Amino acid sequence: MRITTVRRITQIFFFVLFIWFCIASTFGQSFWQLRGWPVNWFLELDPLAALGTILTTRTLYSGLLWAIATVVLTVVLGRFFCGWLCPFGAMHHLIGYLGSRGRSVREKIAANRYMGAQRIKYYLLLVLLCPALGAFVLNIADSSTWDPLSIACVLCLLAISVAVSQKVDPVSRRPITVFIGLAVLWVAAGYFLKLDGAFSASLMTGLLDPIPLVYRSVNFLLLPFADSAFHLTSAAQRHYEGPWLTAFVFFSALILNLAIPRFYCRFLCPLGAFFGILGRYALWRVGKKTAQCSQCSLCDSRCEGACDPAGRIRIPECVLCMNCLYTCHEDLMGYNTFRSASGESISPDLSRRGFITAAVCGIAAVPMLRIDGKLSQNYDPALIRPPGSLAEPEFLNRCIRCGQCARVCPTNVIQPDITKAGIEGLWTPALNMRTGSSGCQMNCTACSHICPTAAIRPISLEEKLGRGVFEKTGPIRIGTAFIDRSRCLPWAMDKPCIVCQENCPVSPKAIFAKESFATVRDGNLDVAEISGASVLLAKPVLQPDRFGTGDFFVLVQSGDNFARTRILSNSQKSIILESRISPELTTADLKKLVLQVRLQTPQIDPDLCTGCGICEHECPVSGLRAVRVSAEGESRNKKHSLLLNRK
Amino acid sequence: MRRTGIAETCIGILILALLAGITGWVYFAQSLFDPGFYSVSLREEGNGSYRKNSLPSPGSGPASALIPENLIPMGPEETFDSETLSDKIDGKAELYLSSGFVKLRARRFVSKADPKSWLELFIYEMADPTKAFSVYSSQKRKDSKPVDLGVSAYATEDALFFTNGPKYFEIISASKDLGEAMTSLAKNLVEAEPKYTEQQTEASLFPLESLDESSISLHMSDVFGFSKLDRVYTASYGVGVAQVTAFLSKRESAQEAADLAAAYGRFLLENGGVEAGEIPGAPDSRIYKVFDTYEVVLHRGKFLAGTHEVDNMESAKDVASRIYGKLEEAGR
Amino acid sequence: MRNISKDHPPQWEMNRRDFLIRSAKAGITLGAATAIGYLLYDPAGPGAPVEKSSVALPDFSVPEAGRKIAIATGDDRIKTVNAALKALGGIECFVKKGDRVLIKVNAAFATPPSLCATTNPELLAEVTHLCFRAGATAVAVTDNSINNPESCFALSGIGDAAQSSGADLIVPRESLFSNITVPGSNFIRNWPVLFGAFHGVTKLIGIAPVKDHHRSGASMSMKNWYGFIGGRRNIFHQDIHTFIKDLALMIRPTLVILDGIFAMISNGPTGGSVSDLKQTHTMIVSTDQVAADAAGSALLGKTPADLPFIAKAEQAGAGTSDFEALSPLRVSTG
Repeated sequence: MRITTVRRITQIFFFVLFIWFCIASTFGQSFWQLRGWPVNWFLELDPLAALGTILTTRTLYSGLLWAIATVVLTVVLGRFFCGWLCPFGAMHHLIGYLGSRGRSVREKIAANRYMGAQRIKYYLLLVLLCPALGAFVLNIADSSTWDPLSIACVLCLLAISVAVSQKVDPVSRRPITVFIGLAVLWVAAGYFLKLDGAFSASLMTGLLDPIPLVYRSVNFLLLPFADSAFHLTSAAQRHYEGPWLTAFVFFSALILNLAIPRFYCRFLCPLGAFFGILGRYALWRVGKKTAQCSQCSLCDSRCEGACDPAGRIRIPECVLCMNCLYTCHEDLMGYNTFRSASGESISPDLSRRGFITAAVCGIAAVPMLRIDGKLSQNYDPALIRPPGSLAEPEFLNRCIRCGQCARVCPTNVIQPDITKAGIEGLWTPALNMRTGSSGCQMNCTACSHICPTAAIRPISLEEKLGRGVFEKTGPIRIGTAFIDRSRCLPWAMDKPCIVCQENCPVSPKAIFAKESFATVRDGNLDVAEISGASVLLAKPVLQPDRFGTGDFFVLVQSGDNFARTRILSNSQKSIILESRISPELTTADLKKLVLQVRLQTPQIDPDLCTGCGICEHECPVSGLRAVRVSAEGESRNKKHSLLLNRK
Repeated sequence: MRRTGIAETCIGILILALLAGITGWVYFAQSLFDPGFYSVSLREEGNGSYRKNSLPSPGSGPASALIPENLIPMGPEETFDSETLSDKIDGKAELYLSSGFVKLRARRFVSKADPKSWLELFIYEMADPTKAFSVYSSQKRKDSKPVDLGVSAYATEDALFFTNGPKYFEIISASKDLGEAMTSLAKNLVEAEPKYTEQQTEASLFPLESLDESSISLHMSDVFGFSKLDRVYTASYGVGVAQVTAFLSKRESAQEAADLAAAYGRFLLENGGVEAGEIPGAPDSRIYKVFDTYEVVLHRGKFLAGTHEVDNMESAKDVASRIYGKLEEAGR
Repeated sequence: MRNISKDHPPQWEMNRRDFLIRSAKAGITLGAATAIGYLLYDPAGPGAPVEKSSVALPDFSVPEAGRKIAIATGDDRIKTVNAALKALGGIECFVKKGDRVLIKVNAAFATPPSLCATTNPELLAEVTHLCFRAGATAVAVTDNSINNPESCFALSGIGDAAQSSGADLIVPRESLFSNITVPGSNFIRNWPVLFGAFHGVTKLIGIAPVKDHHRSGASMSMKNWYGFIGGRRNIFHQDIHTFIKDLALMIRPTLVILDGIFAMISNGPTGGSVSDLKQTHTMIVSTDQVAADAAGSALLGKTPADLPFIAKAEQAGAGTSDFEALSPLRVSTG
């Protein structure tokens, strides 16, 4: 059996497994629903997520331990993940293959030629990973957090950077000095000049990391289509915001494969770049067995990584597709423990200048972005995060934008945010109460248990509801609802409605109603005659059968006495009441009465409101809702607290 | 052209085997989830601890059809297993844990009319009906009156207790005016269970005359202070003005019954008792006078029986001989 | 054509050595990776935010000096404060050689000293001089002002006064705030407080003007500590009296100096015109902040009973409102 056949089977296997996991990320107990399926497995295998969170949080969370397995295999074997496991890579591989059918061998060789632009992905890796370093450097500067573990981590980081900088552009003599000098300068500046804002950190790898990218693209683009056609995972159509951006990134990456195979893998993928760096000491590597080569370049014709196997093979680019083993007619290529006979280069083709620029851009990016104050005073009150989310700085330190929370949310209320939280918050979860089947369900903690990095930390139902041991701290609030009295039907338009109060799920309800009566438009009526429970009007002014809904009352006043009686039915000229108006009021000269509507005007009790948004979802004012949830009062940030004694 | 060597094929097969292994692991993993968490349940696990594969589904609990009209659920259903039972009932957990406790489901309900009137329903699932009956009877409150539900049940001023099959139910209310609601809830719960055919226990061998049926209790261990006595039914007889407590227990074998009778007799003698005769017509019976009460211990066949701490020797003898007679009949 | 150079060692031996070196490097990388993974492994994830354990600010009072209050009358701040301190036994009783003193001023608003909405700069300078003369090695001045700090310190004259007298001005910034919980308090729980200003401090003196206040009735020495609170502290106005009690629990000062030479009797706490001021000729210096405020209430034409926070603070044990019982030392500077 050829190894390439095995590779294809493996790619298909993992791709199908991935699609199955996407389908199974549906809330429920059926076989095809979530149950115990390890749906986050690909995200957990992704070492960028692990490394990023290690840098920002100094912990390796739970399932991310799988990344160690990937790292171990990569160090030993090389970029096997790209060629054998990555579902996104499999997609690129397929489309690249389809795109190159019908091309001549020469054209294929040309398309797979190594291009200098392939070093862009290493710069991208730096730009995306370095923002996470800010927190690390901050910890070094803050001497109160020095403990043996962090000192060990720092020394490790230093050692790695020394090693790395040595490999970058080894021709130059001063890379180490410059790099370390810059780092020391930065730390010193922060420490002595007390540049607090200079060390913000954020986890940005999720933007281009292929595994989160492919998860959210499939979940937000492909599955909703399947839903609308086949009701595959959801009875109702699920909606996700910002499809234009998600689709642009996803499909352009796929389409570019028609021009150059594995375009994304070669030029853009930061994970591939990371593997390329990790695989430098691989025990087995692809290469020529002997130097006796006719330079026919046939090996290039199907080379997936564009790693130049014919010449000095570039090990960081080789994705172990093993195609060259079989396209070579001389059987020169192998997967060997010795280096390629015609030489190999194991360092990516970076310049010191480029390296430092990319690193500085990365580290400086987040402090620059934070100047907008969105993490302090200028926070966007429309940004409602799922219950269990950490406070915003810690949240951004962990979220890899995989979209699993939005995917699993049974009410489809979690949306990938495109505009509210800037680029730092791109594709991070934000709740939109108007979408989906209802606001955030009170008894549901699904999103908190599926988040692979604990950006939404796992909460128990008890903690969410504020019961048992959590009674003192109270329920988890994601915001507070505010009634917009200028739009609310009873408040603004004298129309009875109390849908929000009815649907409020907490007990006692956080929305309570105050009763009031308002005179209906043109409600001052002239009376001709009153007999018993029926009133005859002087003129036929009423709309027939309009006032019999049970909400309308007749107000009769005589001096200081007044009485309201409910209307049973009416015609143009007469009104039938529920009961007789008391005789004291129906004196002979009673000529006027007032037609009133009974309103229950809702009010929010901020001590009880958890911000679940069911009221906003149910409000019949369907455009700009008359009751809207905003982030004030959210539990995760005490600074947004609404009230004094708020739990 | 490259020849695919054996090594390559072997590696290929190994990789495929690995894929198969991954499939197996994934398939196995999908069954590892906690279905209890899909029905809304509260577990007191402290600070938001992580639980794999546990997703709740909104809104469930004891079927709403069973809840009477004027009650609405106040919160979700809570479930407790043997590890977490003490989180709910603290020290009392010991009683249940030593009686084959399986699961407790508890839920609060509030009256529609008055939000201050609420009650809590506890459903204890025990290992078998006998164990359920034992926890039911051993906790019987003194000032209780029996309730007609078709099963063993009694009520106090603000609570209702009954047992049906392997389950023991408690309905405890916060106010005294929910009696009707409690009774109707209890009736619904009883009707909802599959008709449990009363297992013939030795309790049916208590002679019926003057028997207070609602007093039948099952004591599981350390009965009457004697460590070897376990699983003993007791019942109260009203003989004239006197109250006579009778006991009955089915043992594994006739030999065991005899041995246990002798052992209990020795225990009584060691603790200040003196022999005081026997029941006429009942060989192997002994009457013991312990301080100022009488204890009758007899055995027949697999059964150990007698009366306990009776003031009046005559009443004791009377009830004991009736029991013996019943046992004789049963033996035939 | 094979190109085997005879100078080079046999291919396979070089390959083997190279392989072993590579394996070693790979092994080290793997070792590092697994070690990091193992050491940093965190299966539980972040827990619910926990209230940080109560961090009590140190007690800056000087018990040996006793509980005293001095009430000096006169027209000049410098003279009266010196007279009051002398009556208490001299500042040396409180500030010793080697002390690092923190002076908490009221620099809440960017108003001129003449409006008496902020601590008088001359008074500050004098107290600073006294501290240095008593042997203090450093004096720091701080306040988390309501308006912008730079303009507050500048326009109120406090910045210059501090600088000219040799004190360090601590301008509040993010990194100086830490969340603390004051034991026994209702509201100061896990709330940002200007904790960093206390670094190395051994004595604390509060200098506050006597002002009327819309919400609390009066703003005197206890309310002065509001300027240590960070975050969105406006929220505490909803229950201001209890909060002032919390402030009195949080801070146990060495001395409080209540400047009642002029009292702002209307339109406090910002005032706005000298017509809001009344010349009340009094300087109160005390070790007991509750007593000081109780004594100061008279300057506003109020009694301690009119100011609920005094009773609350007394009940909580922060001091006594019966200042007469402390045998106030009354001096006059004419």
